[in-house]
Amino acid sequence: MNSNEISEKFRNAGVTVAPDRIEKLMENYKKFSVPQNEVERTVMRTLANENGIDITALYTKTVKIGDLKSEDEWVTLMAKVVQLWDNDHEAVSQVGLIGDETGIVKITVWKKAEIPLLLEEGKSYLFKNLVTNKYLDRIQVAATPNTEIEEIKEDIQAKGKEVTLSGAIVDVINGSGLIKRCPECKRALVKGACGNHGKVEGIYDLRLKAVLDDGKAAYSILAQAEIVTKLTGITVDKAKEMATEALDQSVVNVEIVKKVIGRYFTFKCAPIDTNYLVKEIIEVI
Amino acid sequence: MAENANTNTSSNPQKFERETAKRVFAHEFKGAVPVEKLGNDQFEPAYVQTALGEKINRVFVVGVATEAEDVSNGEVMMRMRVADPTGVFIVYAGQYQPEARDAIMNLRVPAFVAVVGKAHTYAKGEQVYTSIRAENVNVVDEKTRDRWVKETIEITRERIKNSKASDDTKKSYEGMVETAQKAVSANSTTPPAEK
Repeated sequence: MNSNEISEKFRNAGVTVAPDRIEKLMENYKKFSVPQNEVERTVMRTLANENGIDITALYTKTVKIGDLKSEDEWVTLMAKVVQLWDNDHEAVSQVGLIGDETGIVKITVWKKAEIPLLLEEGKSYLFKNLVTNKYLDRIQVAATPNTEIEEIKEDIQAKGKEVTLSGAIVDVINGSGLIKRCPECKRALVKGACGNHGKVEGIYDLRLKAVLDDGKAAYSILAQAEIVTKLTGITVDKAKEMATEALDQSVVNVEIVKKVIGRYFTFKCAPIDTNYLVKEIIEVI
Repeated sequence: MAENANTNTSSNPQKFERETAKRVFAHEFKGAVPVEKLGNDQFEPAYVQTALGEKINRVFVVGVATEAEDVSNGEVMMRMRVADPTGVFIVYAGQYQPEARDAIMNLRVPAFVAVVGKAHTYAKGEQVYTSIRAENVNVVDEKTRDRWVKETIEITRERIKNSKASDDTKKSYEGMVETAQKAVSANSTTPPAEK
């Protein structure tokens, strides 16, 4: 980065610094053979302090969610809160999804960020200086102490809230059928234990995880009890009865498989990460 | 909703894409040949390639099961013949496909069936035999079969259009599509014969 580029960065942050002055500051370090990026960093920090601005303001880029690629970047987004999730981590203030016209991304607002406002679903905000990170190859953003969030009047349109998928169900994935959920966090229990809360008395639920395939692409779909009942005629109570009678929970899954495999469906779905949550059954053949 | 976030994090961290279940008529499938593996990845899927150039790993077919028999010979194996308007698929299910095997075992032919499975080839001398190793088999109805035939007609037409095969080959497959077309048109005008 040369003096002009640094000057440009300051201009974007609303501060005018003459390239000459930057040049001069950089010159001071030349004789010490300090690495170039360390020189840039020090000069920028000095100038930021002089002008009373936060250094992260210099690094942040205003971007669209669809363009988020690398981690550990400072970004500024204008986005709508699509969904807020229940959160029981004490270090987290809020967690959910935000979206703009190019995509949807998960956001974590840390308690430490001390954001004075609480996000509300359906409202749009300017998120200044979020930091990106990656989890399992997926980009997320987080609000940190350097982040500022302000509500904006503009109504940002979040991308792809619902899509219509049509195809045949070609596979039913493990974890479908009658399951038990943790009464506290609603997670599905594995061998009677919750990942967060250990051994708990689970609540029965019915779900379907399947693959819908249209011959061109395969989609992972997820259906909750209400939809499963509509597709198969099996209610949670009926499923419990079936399992009790057979002394085996898997009979429910077998019955679901018989009802859905190889048949054609059209669903209205909400994309969630790489999965599609079935919201509505449009057609069954 | 938090639940969904959690199930997602348990998904495979590696980039794994499920093979799409291709739609293909029996006549086109029958002429498929194995594609040689590149061999630089032990998890590389096996493909067959049809005369129209479609590379197939997984297939989805709906047709009429005309025969289901136990062909166990040392290891457990069920075989089923599934007819579509253009020909017959040979479907196998063995010890590693217990659900599909049970479904074939409990089948009373003739019946409309949907089959999801992997394309297999077996060479005997000059002759290459294609078959489907079933992952899922289910009894369906006539409406599902008709929908499959219509869908496969559309997909095959597109395939012919984009194919680099010779004009003669394309023409012969156009004939196959017409045969299939006639079969569904006939179905939709006349009531089902049986019962």
